[in-house]
Amino acid sequence: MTGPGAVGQGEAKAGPLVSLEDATFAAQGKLIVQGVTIPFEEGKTTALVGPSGGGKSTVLKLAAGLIVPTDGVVRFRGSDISLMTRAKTLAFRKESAFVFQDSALWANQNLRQILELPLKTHFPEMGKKDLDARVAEVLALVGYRKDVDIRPSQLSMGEQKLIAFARALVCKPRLLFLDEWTESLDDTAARRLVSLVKRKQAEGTTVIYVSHNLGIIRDTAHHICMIVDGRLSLSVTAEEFANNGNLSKTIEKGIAL
Amino acid sequence: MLKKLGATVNDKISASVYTIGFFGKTIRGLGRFFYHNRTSTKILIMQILFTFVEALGISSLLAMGIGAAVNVLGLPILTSFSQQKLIYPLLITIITRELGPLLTAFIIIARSATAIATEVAGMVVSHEIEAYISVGVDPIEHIAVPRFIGVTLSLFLLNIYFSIFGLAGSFLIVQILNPTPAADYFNNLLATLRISDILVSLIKSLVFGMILAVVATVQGFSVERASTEIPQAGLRAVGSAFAWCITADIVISALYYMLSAGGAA
Repeated sequence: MTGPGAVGQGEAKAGPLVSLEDATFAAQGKLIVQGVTIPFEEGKTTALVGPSGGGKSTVLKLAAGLIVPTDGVVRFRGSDISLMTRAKTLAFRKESAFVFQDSALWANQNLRQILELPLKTHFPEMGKKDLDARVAEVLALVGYRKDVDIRPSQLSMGEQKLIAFARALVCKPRLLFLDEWTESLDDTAARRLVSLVKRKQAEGTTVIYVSHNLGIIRDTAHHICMIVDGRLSLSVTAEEFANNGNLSKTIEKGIAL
Repeated sequence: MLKKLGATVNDKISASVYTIGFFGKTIRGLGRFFYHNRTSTKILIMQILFTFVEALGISSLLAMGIGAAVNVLGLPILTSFSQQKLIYPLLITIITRELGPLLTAFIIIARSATAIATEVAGMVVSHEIEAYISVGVDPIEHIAVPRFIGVTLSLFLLNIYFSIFGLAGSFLIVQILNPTPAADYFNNLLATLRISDILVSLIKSLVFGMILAVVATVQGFSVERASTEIPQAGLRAVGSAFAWCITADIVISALYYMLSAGGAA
């Protein structure tokens, strides 16, 4: 069998799947994230919450290895992401996927090409038939039923988000990074994505996401980390969040800001 | 004042080191592009189409204009002291060796360097580059390398086209000023043309192509997050590419004259 169905899912090891260790990130002389340490356990879902502009998306990008910390370390299965060899980096990318807040679909490619690129990168042996089948499968999964030979500019923001989700899921990742993933979606599409994420959780996928939606956080997160002014101000389990009134109020207040 | 000057010099040195490193990574990515990459070929084809094919019109006009100017201005002066045969080395020196590669580079800077810098900058701002990284695609190999090959190859071909069109086009002007049989005109040109003229011209076109492709992509990648940085990246690419191409032109021409003088001695 070729394609993502045949992916070796990586051996389970003790310790967190991804961890930020005293990670700091500065850009243009400004500290955006300061000394954040979060272990992200394998198979668990972590919600990053907090006020807008507080550094949640930057923490998510640090965890995904999209940006390199100016200080501290980000590890995947114990290895420093910034020091990984090319082969290890490629294996990490094959196992993980990122959904961007603004979808970030490649404007100069049509939807089919957008969905095929990750497959061609990680499964070069896949033929056209396999590619077509996997693209159709993942589009059905996210509920997109329109033409795939059009460019992203011809889609609504909500449809772009669906395609961004499809791109993230096309290689069947075991680690999902989602940035404001239900933003700009209508209720039906949002519900579909929430149930999709729940299905991925049930399959053992590790999910790390940024959201302001309290309902979704209550519904899906095992762990909640609040980021305020670039620092980790609170880290609680879903049980603590549900049972401790003071903690709940603090987080709800932080989300509302 | 001194502190500010020092900081500026430091920034310039850092930027130059980064550009050299970027060039190194691009060269390293060439091998992977040819042997492993089956997704960026379309970008390469589109780059050649835009940089070479679509620039043929403006290149023809400019080549013909330069050829005409050399003839119109040079021929009467040379004829006045019976040295009209010197028009051939003059044409080859100006069109093939000196102005041809530089003007071709200027055409490509104005068209493609700005286009590449603004396109890449737009991709950075809209997080498309991060999206490439997230799916395991190296942006240098996928974005920079096909543009590097496309621009360098296009400048190389466009320079040859410019030389041929400039020299052949000027023949039409010669017919008005001083009618000459085509066989005489082209035989004289070929007799004057030296291998070293062709080599210098080709070397310049390759060097200019590499310079402006790297400068344009580096400037595109250098933006942070604001959309207002996109046109600024285009402007910086034009300024830097002009400066680097002119500097490289001076260095190559100086080396050529030094080696020629050494050879003659």
